[in-house]
Order: sequence, then C-alpha cells, then structure tokens
Amino acid sequence: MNKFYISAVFALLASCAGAVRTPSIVVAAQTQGRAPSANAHKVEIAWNRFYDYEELSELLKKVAVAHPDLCSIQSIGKTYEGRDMWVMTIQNPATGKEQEKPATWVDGNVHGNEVQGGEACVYLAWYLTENYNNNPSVKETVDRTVFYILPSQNPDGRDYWFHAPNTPSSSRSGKRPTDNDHDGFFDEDGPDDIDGDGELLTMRKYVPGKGDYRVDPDDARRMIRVAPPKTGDYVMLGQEGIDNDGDGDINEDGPGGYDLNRNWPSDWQPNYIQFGAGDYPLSYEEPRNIANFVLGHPNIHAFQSFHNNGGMILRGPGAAYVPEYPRADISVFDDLGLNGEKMLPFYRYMIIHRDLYTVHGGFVNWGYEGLGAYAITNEMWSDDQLYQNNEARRGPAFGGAAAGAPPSTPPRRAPAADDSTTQDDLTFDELVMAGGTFVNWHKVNHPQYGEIELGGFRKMTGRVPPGFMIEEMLHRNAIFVLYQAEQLPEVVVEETSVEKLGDGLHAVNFTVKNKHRMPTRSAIAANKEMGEPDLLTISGSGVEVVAGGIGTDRFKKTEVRLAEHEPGRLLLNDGIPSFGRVTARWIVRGSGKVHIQFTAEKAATVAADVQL
Amino acid sequence: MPAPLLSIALFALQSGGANYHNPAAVEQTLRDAVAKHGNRAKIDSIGKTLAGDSIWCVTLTEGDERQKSAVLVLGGANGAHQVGVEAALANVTQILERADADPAVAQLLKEHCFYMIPLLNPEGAKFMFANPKMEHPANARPVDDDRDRRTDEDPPDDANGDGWITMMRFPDPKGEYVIDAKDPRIVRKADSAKGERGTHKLVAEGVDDDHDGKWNEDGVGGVRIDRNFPYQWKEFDRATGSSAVSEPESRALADFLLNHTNIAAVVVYGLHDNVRKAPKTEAGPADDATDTPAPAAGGGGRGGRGGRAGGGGGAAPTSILKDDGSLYERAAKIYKEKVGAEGDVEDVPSDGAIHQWAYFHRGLPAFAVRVWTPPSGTRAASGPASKPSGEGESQSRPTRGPRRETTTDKPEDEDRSKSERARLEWNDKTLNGDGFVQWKAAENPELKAIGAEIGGWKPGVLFNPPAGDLAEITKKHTDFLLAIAPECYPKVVIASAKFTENKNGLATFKASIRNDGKAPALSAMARRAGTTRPVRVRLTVDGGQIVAGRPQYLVSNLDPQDAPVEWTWVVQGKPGSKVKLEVNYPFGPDSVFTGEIQ
Repeated sequence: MNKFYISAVFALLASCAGAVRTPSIVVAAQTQGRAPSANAHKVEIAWNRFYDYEELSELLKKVAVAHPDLCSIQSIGKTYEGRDMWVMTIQNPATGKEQEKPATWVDGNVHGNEVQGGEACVYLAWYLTENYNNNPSVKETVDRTVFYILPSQNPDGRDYWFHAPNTPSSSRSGKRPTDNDHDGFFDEDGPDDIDGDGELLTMRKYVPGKGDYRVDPDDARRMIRVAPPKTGDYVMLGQEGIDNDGDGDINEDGPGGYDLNRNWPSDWQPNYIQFGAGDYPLSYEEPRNIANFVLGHPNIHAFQSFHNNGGMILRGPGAAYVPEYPRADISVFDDLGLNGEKMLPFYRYMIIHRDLYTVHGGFVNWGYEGLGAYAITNEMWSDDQLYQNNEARRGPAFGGAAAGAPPSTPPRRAPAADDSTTQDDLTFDELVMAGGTFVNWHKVNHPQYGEIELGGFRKMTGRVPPGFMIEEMLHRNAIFVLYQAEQLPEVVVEETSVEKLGDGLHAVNFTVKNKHRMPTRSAIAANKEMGEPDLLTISGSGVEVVAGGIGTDRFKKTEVRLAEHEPGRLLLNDGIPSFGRVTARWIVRGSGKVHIQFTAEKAATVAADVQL
Repeated sequence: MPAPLLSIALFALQSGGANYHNPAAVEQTLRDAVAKHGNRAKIDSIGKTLAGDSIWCVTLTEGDERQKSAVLVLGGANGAHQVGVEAALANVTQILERADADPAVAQLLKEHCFYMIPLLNPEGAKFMFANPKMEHPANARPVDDDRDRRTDEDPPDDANGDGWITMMRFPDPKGEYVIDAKDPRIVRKADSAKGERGTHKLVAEGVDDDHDGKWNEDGVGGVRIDRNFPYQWKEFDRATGSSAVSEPESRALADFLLNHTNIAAVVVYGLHDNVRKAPKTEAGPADDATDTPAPAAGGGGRGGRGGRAGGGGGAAPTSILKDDGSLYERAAKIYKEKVGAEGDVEDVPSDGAIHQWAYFHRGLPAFAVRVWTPPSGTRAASGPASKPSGEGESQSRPTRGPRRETTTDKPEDEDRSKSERARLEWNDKTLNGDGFVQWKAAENPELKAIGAEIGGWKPGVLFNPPAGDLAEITKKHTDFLLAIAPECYPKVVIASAKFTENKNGLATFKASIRNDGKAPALSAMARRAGTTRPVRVRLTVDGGQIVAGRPQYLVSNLDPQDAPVEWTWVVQGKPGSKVKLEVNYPFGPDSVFTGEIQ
C-alpha cells in the first residue's frame, strides 16, 4: 500500500515537473560537476517547435526567473476563459525609472492560429536577457528603453488551436460564444474531427463521372477542378465536419467567430461593415486588458504586433479613406520598413489597405492613429522561404525603392499563380519533410454524406515554418524589434550657456538634441494633439523668470517665440524632431543656482544646473 | 481660487427648484416606487461611475421579463438636462400608479416590459445641486482640457458669490463679442460682414486660477456620455473620450442593451429630438433584403481562410432607412397628439449620440425627445444660444457649460439675437426675471482689474422648465410613452399548422407564421446590421425523419401587413411519432405546435 502511495506521489511530481521540463535540465544533469561551455545559455530553450499557452507562459517565467535584475512579469487581466495575459517588462531599474524611459510594446498571436508571434516574443525576451552582458548594443538599448512583451494577445485562441482539431487557418477567433448563424444558438455547429486523428482535413466524395473535381494524375494528393462540360469523379465537401445542430448546414457556427484585431478604437466599424468587430470598441476582454495597460503607459512609442503570414512589414492606414500619414512620420516608417526588408529576406514593406486588404479597427492602426506611436505588424513567414528563392517563382519585386520610386512607395509583389503554392507545399512535403505534413486521402463514414474521403495538410504547415526553420524566423523578427527600439528618442543636453546682461539680468540658453530616428512626438500626435506636449522648465529659488521662449534660429539666439504667460514653463507640442534639436532662451533676474529640465512622455527626462 | 467644493447631499430638493431631484433623491424615489409596487417593479444597478455611484435601472413588468418585448427609456446622460431625468422618473411612478387603476396599462405590463434608466450620468447631474450650481454636461473623469500637463487646474469660480456659475464679459481688443445696443444684457458675436469689430471677451465666470492667460479653461474633467457612442464618434475631441464607449456609464448602458435582446425600441430624453418632426429617410440596401440575412462570413471554424479579409464593407447609412420611416412618423404623430410641444429643436450635432448608436449600429428604433425648450421667437433656434464657457485654445471644445450646439459657426445672426430676445422676454414676464443674473461689475480684485462684469443665464434655465411646470410636462410624456410602446412591438404567431396528408407513416405537414404586432419582426436597419435575431422556425420529428424540406428556416422579413409565410414538409415515421414545430424570436414567447404521424 505504501509503495502504491509513494509511486502515486512520484507520478504527481513527475507530471508537475513535466510542465517546466526543458532540455536544459537534462543537460545540467549530464554535465554535473563540470563547468558549462563558454557559450551555454542561462536558459536553454528548444527553438525548433511551437509551444502551447501553458508551455509558453512557463518559458517566459523561466526567462524572468533567470534574469531578475532585468525582467518582471505581471498579468494584465484574464481572457474570456480565465487565462492570465502575461506581460513581461524588460528594463534596467539601475538606469532610471521605467515610466520615464521610452518603450516598445511587443505582442503576438492575436489570431489564435497565428502562433509563431508568441515564440518570437519569448525569443526576444530570451535574446535580450541572454546577451545583455556580452553585446554592448543590446545592453545600451535595454539600459535606456523599456520592452513590454505580451506573447499572446489571445491565449484562449492559442490554446484552442493547439489542443483542438484545427487547420493552419482556423481558428483566428477568441472563445466567447457567438451566434454566427443568427439562429439563437451559440457555437452549436463547429467542425468535427470525424476520423479522430487530431487533424481537421478536407472532405471529398467519390461520385464517378458525376463530379467537378478529379485527382491530379501527377500527384494523387492534389485535386484539380474540371470545367464543364467535362466531368470529374469527385465533389469537394469543405472542411471536416457534420451538421451538429440538425439545421441542414455544416460547420456554420463554430467556437467563437470574431476577430480580436478588429475591436480597436481607431476607425472601428460595426460588424455589418467589418466582420468580427465586436459590439463596440474594446468590447472583448483581451483588447480591453491591453488597452488599459497601454493607456496607462504613455511612454510606449513603438509597437510590434506579430501575425502570420506572407512575409510583410505592415504599416497603416487600414482603409483608403483614412488620410495618408504625415510626411515626417512616413520617413520613420520607411526607415523601419526598408531596413526591415534587409533583416527579413522574403519580407516586403507594405501599406495595409493598399497592399493587403482593408482593416477597420486594427490594433496597429490604433497604436499609430489613436496613440501616435510608431506601430508595425510583421506578417511572419513566407512560403517563399521553403526554397529560399521567391524570385524564381514569382519574379522580382516591382515598384518601390528597388525601382527608383520614393521610399514611401513600398514595392508590390506579383500575386502567386493559382496553384503554385499548393504544388510547392506538396513537393516540399515529399522532398524535405519526408511526407510528414500531409495526411493522405482515406475513407470514413459521414453521418450525413455516407462514405466520404478525408485528406489534406496538417495543422502545423503552411502558415508556420517547419521546425528546422523556426529559429531563424524568430531571430530575424526579434532583431527587427531591437532595431525598432533603437530608434526610440534619446534626448541629451547639447548646450547650456549663460550670458550676463547686466543689472542682475542673465540670458540662459539651453539646447536639447534627439540622438535617434523617432521624434519625441510623432507628427500625427502633434497634429491631432494626442498625449501631453513635451515641457521645458527653468527654476531657481533666487531667480525670477522675466521672459522665455523657443528659439527659431539656431545661430541667432535672440530670435525666439516668446511665451506670453509662464515663461519658465515652455510647452513643446511638436517635441524634438528626428535627429533634431530645440533651443530655449530665458531672461532671468537674480542669482544662484538655476535648474533647467526637459520632460517628455516618450523620452527620458534630462536636466542641467547652471550657476548665475 | 481652488475648485469649489461640491456639497451635494445637503441640496436634495433645493437648488434645482422645488421638484427637481438630485441623484440621491432619484434613487430614493425609485426605491419607494419599487417598494410600493413590488409586483410590477424591481430595481438593479447596471454599473457604477468612476466615483463609484450606481446607475439604477427599474424594470417595469409583471412577473418574468424574459421573452417580453421591451422599451428602454433613458434620461440624464447630459448633466445639464435635468428635465429628462424628471420625465423618466415620473414615467416610473406614473406608469405604476396607472397600472393599479387602468386595466389597459396593467395588461401592457403583463405582456411587455419597460427598462427605465432615469439618470445615466449621476456625476454630471450633481453639479446642478452643488454650491455653486453649474452646468456640467459630462461625467467627472479628469481631463487635461488645455493640454498643459496639469489637470483640472482652472475651473470656473463663483467670483461674485451668488451660488451660480454664470458668465463673465470684459473689454478686450481681441474679443469676438459685442454688447447688443438694443438690450445690453445680450452679448453677441460681432458681425464682421457688417464691418463690426469685437470689443469683449465672453467666458465662464471665474478667475484665471493658473495664471496662464486663459479663463476657466480646465475645470473638472469630463467626457460627454451623450457623445461617447460608436456611431459617428468624434475622435480627438477632449469631451468625447479616449474611444467610443470609453466611460463606465456608456459601457454599463451598452452592455445592458446588448444583454437584453428583448429590447425592441429605445427612448432617450436628452438634447436631441426626432419626435417633434419625423426624421428624413433614405432608401437603403436593406429595403431590398432577401428573406435571410447573409450569415456572417468566416464564423469560427468555418472552412477555408475563415473570413480572413472579413467585412461586409460599405458604409453605415446616415438617415433612417425608408422602411423604418413609418414608425418614426407614427411616433411624431403620437408626440404631437400627447405632448404637442411647439417649435423645432435646434439642430444639435449628434456625433456619438446614444439614439444614433441604437438605431444605426444596433438596428433598434430610437426616439430622441428633448422634452422641453424655452420660447424661441423663431422657428429654428430654441436651445441655449452661445454659452462659451472655458476659454480654450480652441473654441470648438469648451468644457464647461453646454457646448455651443449649433451646426454653423456663423456669427450671431438675426435669428439668434431674436431668439435671445424672446427668451429674455420670457425671463422677464414668465420667470419674473429670475432666470437671468443682471450683468454687474466684478468685485474680485483680479477681475475688477480687467473690467469684468458677471451675469447671464442661471445654470440650467435654458434646458429645464420652471419646476412648477414639471407635473404637466412629465404627465404628457408618460402618455406619449404608453402610446408609442405598443407601436414598437412585433408579435409573431403560428398562423396555421396542419397535416394535409397523414397515413401509413408518411405525412405532409404545412405551417405558416404571421406577424400580429404593429412593428416588423426586424427593423430594416436590424436586417442591414444583422443585429436583431431573425424568427427561427424549426421542425423536429421524434421517432421519425424529415424526408423533404429543411429542418430550420430563419425569417427576417415579416411585417404586420405581410401575408403569412408558409412551408411544407414531408415527414416519415412510425404512427404515433411526434412532429413538433417551434417558432422562436426575441420579442415574445415561443409558439409551438405538436402533432402525430398516423
């Protein structure tokens, strides 16, 4: 009896450990007593597979536990099904207060099936922390900025994609029950794994001489449409499933059935204009939790929201009627997008509504159009990467910078020929994946259709890379985020000088300079008066500020735009431009120490003291 | 001067006039009514404001409210519009009293339901009961109105200590206003077309607390609940919130409406009006809608790319759809009959308005009712004229006092001056001069130094009738509500159900449904928006099967005057098998027919 008890406890412990076990534990056991290799990581993570929500959360926590000086983790709220939404904050408290440093928001996986953004987030956290001590560039950016990292915007959707039968494309949604077919029942007829193999496949029925499809004579996996008057031997019956609710339709109301990336405030449109938008902006728990966090962190000045797929670096606008962005901001986006193309081969810098499709109420649209931060989405992974050569298949990119057009005109790419993707994927499956990604056609009995056949690609193909290509994808995307963060503004004092004017009067000149690409206030934020303006102040117990203003000529210091009231407190709605500078000049009466300070939402505070 | 303290509780029934109710009195009145009429009323909190005040909803119906069509009635979204609160509050008590005496009203509460939310914005309403008393249309969320990195640092002040925040005028060469030569009480915009040059500034009463050269430009916060809803929501306007439905009051209301799918229509007592005159209509695609709305593309788990690109596209309509026009016309007719209010309500911008959201996004007929307007002297202008409050960087976003609710930025034209004169005449004759504070030089040293005079309309006077008129006005609105409600309800029933053939285990079954109510099963806008659920007709055979016909039909187009919609099924089963037809829709009980296969 005792023995049974002990083994039961052991089994329990083992199952607990199972959740956190990774190769590093195995390595540690084998190398006990020996010094680790010089290039060993503090946290070893296998970057050749994808992780479900629980596993991914554990990986994030492991990174945090191993690097407590730089990382903290908090739940920003719960999902519809009650999962925690974990955000990791990476920053160095020794170099200043978190709220005073500019920040990058990074997330992934808003669509349940678009999983690899989650791994990219954890990879970024892992890469920054593991390299903090040995890579000066990493250290510099981690020391002066903040990263807020949410691996999954949609943990319910992620969990459902991993643990329920799904396809590469299903399901994008969260899990709040939704009456998609308007019959008063909720989620009552989703897809079904008829053959119980854990995959959601395609149904076909053999109807010799009476169908409109035939089997490709060169590849038995592939179906070819037959144009009338010719006939084929098969009809295609759609996604694997049965009529669960007996209403005559199949798979018409599955779990969820909305789009968390259409629920954001900027250009939000109701469901009848934008499918999946939800009842009103931020009506779903997950976007609301994120919005509460983001609105509470006005230091966020850059966004990266990872999606899959297609190999794109996307900026807004999301709809043609939304005005094109101000020129000064486009130049920031162009720098990010065009350098991103170099970091991310096979990716193209694009405008959402023009080069992809119309999106109302998207997250990055809100990030830029609603908050004035530089917001970008990477559509991770392109199946051009399967053969490491897209030009052979589709021809070169046309238009855009490559063709001599202005950099703000991103290149467009010719659409793929109709069937090429499928054929390429099939060939790749056969030659490189040893046939492991395709389920061959096989017979099953269907309660409504009788004998049918099922076949198709497995879930983890098509929109995600094969295991052996994951790490490269993660690294290139994470390094792009690091590049985004490096562009965050950093304001330094360039000059502080005092001119003696006589009669106890002094002129104090103060110049601050922005060392980086992103201005302290985006042009759209300045135009639309979003957020708080930057502030230049001067104070001292023994002085009276007689006049003050912002300089309008760099070399003629007396040319200033005088403040009519409160000259010691100059508001700067336009902020400090990209690589630019702002000069203030004050006339003060008195003596002693004077304190001058620059304060901004998106840049660290800088100050100088001068003696009159 | 610091912001005036709000001493609310003490002013229960005072400052607002004898019968205006402050938030505490509103709650008490509702509780008393519910206690007295427990068989037909209950009270619930639908949410809380930022300050933690509950927003109360009284449900008026006898017994269980589920599957009873309902009208949602709202008041007090705008803190200055007290008469709307009074109307909704009186509706509650008067409907309950009448139900005790009038069998028709009792029957209405048996079959149908009213959801009554008299005070949606209690934070804003409190300002009318504070000392000093002031108009505060919004809630009390702190907002840095003048964007100087300080929040709520320069509110209006009661500089003359009379207990009201009124207006202040002072000579200023940059001023846009002049004092009217005929009646020096009137301060109007200079008419530059006639070569007139402004001589005065006109701002809300108070000192420049933060010494930034602007008067009262950043008072106690505020997001306008009546401008915080998604249809035509205006972004980057500090009074409209960080997003549509950003405020707890708006969220509470939106969630309540979405969770009560039995709501068939909405009545909003507020600044807008579409019942004195029926709104114009437009022909929309919904007028040609087929029987069943297109199912939402790409529902979770649907095949292929799952609605990747999504979206029905297009744009939301901007006028009431033609097929919904007749209900609005009936409402206007009933309003004229029951209330008979004179004059048009000025054209108040309706960006983010509640009734607009209810109709254009949710497909619910929504009646906006101004309840009362002061005499105008002209047809077009009857509301408060210019009442700029805070002096901001932009006059388009004053934060104190009612916004200048006009559609044009034209200088004071003849009409406006005329209506201001008419109102002053009304003040002098009807109110005995009690609605207007005579302009008087300020004594506060800072204001004296600039030659300021304090005066103008007392808070709320141009929005709300004298308290003595409330009894009659609110009774008329109860009459209106009781008359319009039945017009808003569909009533779907089984018109016929019978076996035409039935022997040897094979039967032909025919059934039809009909709308016996006064409103369509779904409004044209609901069909367009795909919001209201269609009528579901479902046939099941216990111990048998349908051999011809679909098991389920969804019907979204069923108007009262339409002929019955009919279906035929062939069913097979052992003799004695049960055939069951169920008709289900959001606005009434299920209809069921059962029969047996012979």
